[in-house]
Amino acid sequence: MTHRRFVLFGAVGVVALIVVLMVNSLSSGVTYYLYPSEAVAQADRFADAETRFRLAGMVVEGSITEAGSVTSFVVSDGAAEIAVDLSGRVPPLFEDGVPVLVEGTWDGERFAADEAVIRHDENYEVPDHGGAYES
Amino acid sequence: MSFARQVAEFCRRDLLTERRAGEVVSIVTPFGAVALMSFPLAFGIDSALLSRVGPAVFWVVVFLFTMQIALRHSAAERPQQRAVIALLGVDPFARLLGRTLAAAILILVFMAILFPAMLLFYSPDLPDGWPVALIPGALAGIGLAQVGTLAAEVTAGLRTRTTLAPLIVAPLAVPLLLAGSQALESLASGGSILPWTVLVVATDLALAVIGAAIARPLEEASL
Amino acid sequence: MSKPTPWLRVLQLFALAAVAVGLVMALRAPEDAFQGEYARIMHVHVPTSWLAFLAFGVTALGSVMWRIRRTRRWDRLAAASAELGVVFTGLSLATGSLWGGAVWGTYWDWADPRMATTALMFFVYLGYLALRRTTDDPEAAASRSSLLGIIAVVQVPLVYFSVNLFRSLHQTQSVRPGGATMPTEMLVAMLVNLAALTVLYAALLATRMWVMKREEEVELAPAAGAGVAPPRLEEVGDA
Repeated sequence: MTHRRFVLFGAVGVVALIVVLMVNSLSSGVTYYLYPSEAVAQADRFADAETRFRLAGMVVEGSITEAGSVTSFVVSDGAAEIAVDLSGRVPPLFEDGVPVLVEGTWDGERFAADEAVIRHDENYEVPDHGGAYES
Repeated sequence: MSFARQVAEFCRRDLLTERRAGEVVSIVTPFGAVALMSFPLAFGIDSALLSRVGPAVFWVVVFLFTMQIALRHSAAERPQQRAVIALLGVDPFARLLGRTLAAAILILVFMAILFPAMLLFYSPDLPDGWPVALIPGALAGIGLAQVGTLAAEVTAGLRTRTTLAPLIVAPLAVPLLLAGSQALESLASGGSILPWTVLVVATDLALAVIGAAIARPLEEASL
Repeated sequence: MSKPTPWLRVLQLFALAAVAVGLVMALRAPEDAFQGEYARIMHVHVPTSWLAFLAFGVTALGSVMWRIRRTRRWDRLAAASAELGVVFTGLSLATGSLWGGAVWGTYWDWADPRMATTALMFFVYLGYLALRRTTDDPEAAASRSSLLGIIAVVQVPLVYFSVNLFRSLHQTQSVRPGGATMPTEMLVAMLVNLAALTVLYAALLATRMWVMKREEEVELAPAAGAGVAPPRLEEVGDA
């Protein structure tokens, strides 16, 4: 007795469940990070200052200020903006307009982060002036 | 002998062995409880931290100790016994399923004892309606039994079995542990346990399919 | 001691030349406006990742064919390709981590689906190689490992699509149906490197399979010469 039929239907079932999972997880809260508009919409979920989450967005041009060891800036996804206070290490390529991913908690209306990384996208570009990269 | 009967016989045999030797109840479970207790000692006094990491530590302990349960039982079988069973024409998938069933029962008993212990030692903040998270938790326990039995079968009779089995077990167990621990987390942050339950069901089913597909070639390979 | 065939020598030399050309191309390709020189890591990182996928696919193919044909050749193909796949995955992880340290500002992130699934794939194939080494009998090794070789390949598409299925730190594919999201000079340099590393993979694969064949010949030689069946090293229980 081989279990050909069980293997066949089982495999189909596994694939179906995975598809359900993919569709479902895209709409539910199981995500690696939130965009500012989502973070504002779901503010209640992370309201207490102990629940950590990650926030992804662009650093708004001209919003970076430094005060001691804290770097403050604003991240935006085009729909909403959140002010961030970063008390950790600043990534080496951090500057105006870069996509960032910060990790931390709500601190009232602001976001208190202690980790930050640059979230580079899939686009590569040649420098305009063709010369060396300036940081 | 029907397929179901064969499965039941194998399951009964493993449980009988356990009743005589009492390994899970008298050795593995006390050590699991000790492992749970040793974490708070290592962390020092920080009740906030303990209540946060409690469920995670529970899953680490469950993973490490239940693998001992599943691997041990399949390893108890000698090559001669395997040969006799194969020659009798017993369906190899029935043997795999029976052993998995027995391991699953023992693992669920182990988890049922350790879970209240975790609540006691760590007093985690459980969200409202937390008992529903026991469903994906129990399903993950069954999945761990499948992973352990499968790994034991693949490595049966090999001298390097003890070093090889963990390498096979670790990746397969990841979705189970993830689902088991994240279900509670998801519930706490206002989400639903449904995606994690689907993940754990998909993994359990995938493991069963793999078992059914490779049971016969595996038996040929390990004789 | 037999020498490699002339064809194998030609392939090896060609692979060396191709890798040298690829290296020059990578160094001459334009830098990226934002990442600067760090973008050059891509010319190694992307091809090694793709070749890891290819290598594990070839392992699955060799495993399937071994189950059908039961000839040593297919098993050697599966084993050699898995070894190379592990090497390429390791290179991909190492180069990716260096790039991440420079550009992202972190060398590793367990929560990232691409990184986690790649690391998982690395360990599964390490397990595959460990499984092969557990017995001296090549037939026994093949019959077990061919099963794992077939099952393990399921995760390859999962690794590839992990950046599309989940939100991740790792960027999505730059080269995809409908064009690439990078300047032509950069793309050409990367594709040249892909071709060069593919030739290197083929050369290493052929060489490793050749070595495996020699190893098996050496092990079986005395018995075959005497014309007597040697006592087989069966499993002596697991005491």
